[in-house]
Amino acid sequence: MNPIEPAAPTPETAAPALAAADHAALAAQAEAAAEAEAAAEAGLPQASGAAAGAGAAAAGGAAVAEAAGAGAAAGAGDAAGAGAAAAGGAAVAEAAGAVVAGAALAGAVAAGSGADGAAGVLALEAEERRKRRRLTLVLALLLILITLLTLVSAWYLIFRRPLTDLLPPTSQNAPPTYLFSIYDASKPVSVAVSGAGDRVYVAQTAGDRLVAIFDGSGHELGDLQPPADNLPHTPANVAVDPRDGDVYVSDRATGAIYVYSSNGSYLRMFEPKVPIPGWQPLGVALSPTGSWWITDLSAPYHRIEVFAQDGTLTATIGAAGMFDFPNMIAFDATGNAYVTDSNNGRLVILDPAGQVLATVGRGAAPGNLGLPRGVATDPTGRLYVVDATGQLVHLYRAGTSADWRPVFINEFGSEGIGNGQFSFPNGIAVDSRYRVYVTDRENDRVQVWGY
Amino acid sequence: MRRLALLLAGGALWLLLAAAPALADNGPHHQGASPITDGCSGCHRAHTGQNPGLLTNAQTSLCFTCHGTTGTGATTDVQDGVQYAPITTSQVTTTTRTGSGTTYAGALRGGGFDKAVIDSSLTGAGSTGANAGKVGSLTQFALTTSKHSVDLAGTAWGAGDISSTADAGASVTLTCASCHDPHGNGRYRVLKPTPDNAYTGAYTGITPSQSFMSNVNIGDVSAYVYTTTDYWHPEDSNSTGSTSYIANVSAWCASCHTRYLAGATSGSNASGDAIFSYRHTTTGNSFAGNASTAPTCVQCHVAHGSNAAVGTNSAAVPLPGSSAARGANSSLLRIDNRGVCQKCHHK
Repeated sequence: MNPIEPAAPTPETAAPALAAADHAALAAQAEAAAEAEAAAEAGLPQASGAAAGAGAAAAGGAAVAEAAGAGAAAGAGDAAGAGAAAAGGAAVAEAAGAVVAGAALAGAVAAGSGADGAAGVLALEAEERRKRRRLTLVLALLLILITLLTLVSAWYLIFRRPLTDLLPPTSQNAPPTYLFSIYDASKPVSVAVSGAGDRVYVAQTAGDRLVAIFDGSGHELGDLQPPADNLPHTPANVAVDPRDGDVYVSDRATGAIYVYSSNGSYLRMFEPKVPIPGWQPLGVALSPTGSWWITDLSAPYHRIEVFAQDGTLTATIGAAGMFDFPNMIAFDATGNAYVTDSNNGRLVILDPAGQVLATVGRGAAPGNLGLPRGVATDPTGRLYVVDATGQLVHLYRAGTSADWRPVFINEFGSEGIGNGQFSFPNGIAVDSRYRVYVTDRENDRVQVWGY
Repeated sequence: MRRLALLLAGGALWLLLAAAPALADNGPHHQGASPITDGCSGCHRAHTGQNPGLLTNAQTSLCFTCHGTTGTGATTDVQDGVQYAPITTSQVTTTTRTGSGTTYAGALRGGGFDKAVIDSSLTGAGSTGANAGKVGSLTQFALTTSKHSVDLAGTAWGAGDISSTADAGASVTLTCASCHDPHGNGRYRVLKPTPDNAYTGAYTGITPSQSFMSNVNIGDVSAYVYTTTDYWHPEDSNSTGSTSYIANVSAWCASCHTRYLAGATSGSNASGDAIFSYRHTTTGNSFAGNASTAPTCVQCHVAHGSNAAVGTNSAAVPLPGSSAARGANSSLLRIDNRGVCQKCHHK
């Protein structure tokens, strides 16, 4: 037999227990009645209630004792104990009657606990404490929930974006899906976006030929006005300095890079400290170490120049014949650079010192390139390369030290004018929300993709 | 069997050699001297092309991807009429810009389709305007006032035979490849020897008696160094010689503008044409900058677009075969109004 199971009552043991319980209950009733009479003589106001309670408790004890006799779980000893406790004294009976203020509950406590009256009170207090703790816990959870909901609501009201925007892609191999387009862009060739995605800068090469500023929903906020120097300005590539939000715009025709504040005010020109004759900057990107990498199409050959923040030329990458119209540059977290060597039809991967690690070129295999132009990396280190004549975007996973060649994992887009289709895509940018912005030049729009 | 094998081998060799000319030129879509056949798929589809010429994309958009306004893939921007520094700094038009001191590109000699930067002003009676009509340093774009429109139907003025029945010319729609061979062909500016839409009639009554159906070969020099001065200008050493651009370009233009080709006495002898009756000579191959020598087409006109202004009298001149005034249409002239006349006649 399991030692923790109580012994089942038998008719032989239950009969004397019933008799004892009945006797104890009658004794308690008699004693309580006597005390009630005494109290009434003394003029105590609670006398009748106390007597009633005591009587009720005694009756309860008798009732439970009967239940025990009918084979209830409570043992005969317990029932007898309950009767004895009820008969134990008027004070205890009074206390029981005052606390529970009900005959049935008093009887249940007295019989069910199987303890004496003091133990029953303690059990009640413990139960009350448990209830309070549970209530406190529920209230705390509700408070936390309300706080979270308030924060989410505030975030939504401020940014007008669903919470899923903050979540990383569910699969590292999955391409983004088309979300919406930013129209009112005239022959856009490049795009840059603030980290939070609340400012989108689009270089337009037709119309007013300015860099237009849009908010994250595609509403135009203004544009970047170059200095009034009577020169033929045409923005080529745009980059955002994540440190202060300044916007850098290259202009090959005027041989300059113009710098604007995040709100669109013209600040200054970024210039080589020692002028470079015929400087023709095109691609602009900030390395993780804070140096500016700029593709230069001027004589004697196309190359990448690395500048300190003050314009000091610190390195030149690319010998004669290496690059043919290098267009854009992106960096990964390790500082490796990805350069679209456009007219050579390849992507060149460079280490932070400018040494070639690998290339991705033309060919028939998935991920091979035609006319690569825009390039960007996302927060998980994935690489996006725009193929302007392929009318799509290639998606790669960064290589490793074992093989730095990026691993093709997917592609998205096709030729056309519908949603998710391109007509000569060119520039690309990715924000911290994994939103992918692609300039769709001949369709006069910027497509926004996401996960 | 052996004969068949030899035949197949010979055929393969022939195909290889036949393909070589298309790939040998250092044209814009081939890198260096090595043919990269994968480049074909950048523009063409053998069976699933969506545009004429088996092209994947509309031709003009395809060309502007490199030759468009930002110059992201070429030294020539044909939309804005910009010629970026081709090879060496010595070929860059130097202009000092305040605050930078750097130099930048010059202007494209043929102008641009949307904008051009031609110095079109010529002021003062008798002035030769040393720079007038030249394409000089890049200062500020100006919208074109006339152009060879692409992808739009227009009139090929003077196309056709000399005829007593008034006919200004055929309606044609030009594309970039109407005049240029994107695969490269070893000729100046990869111009096609015979442009598309060339007149294919009998060429009756045309003087001088030139065979227009023959290819017009305009020589080029190697390595993209076309000319370093204004080839159309009298001082340009490249303007002479039997294979020079100047010696051949009028015949090339006349492939379409047939009745504009006129010999030395055409100004005083009626051609018999209802519209193009008395015509300025256009068959010169030298240009001394005076009235005794004959100009060529490109000494007065540009190929892509011009920003020349049109004054009141010039604007009132009707288009050929029409009574309506031309308005702001500058007829691709290099100099405002009729400044090109002054360049030689000094009136």
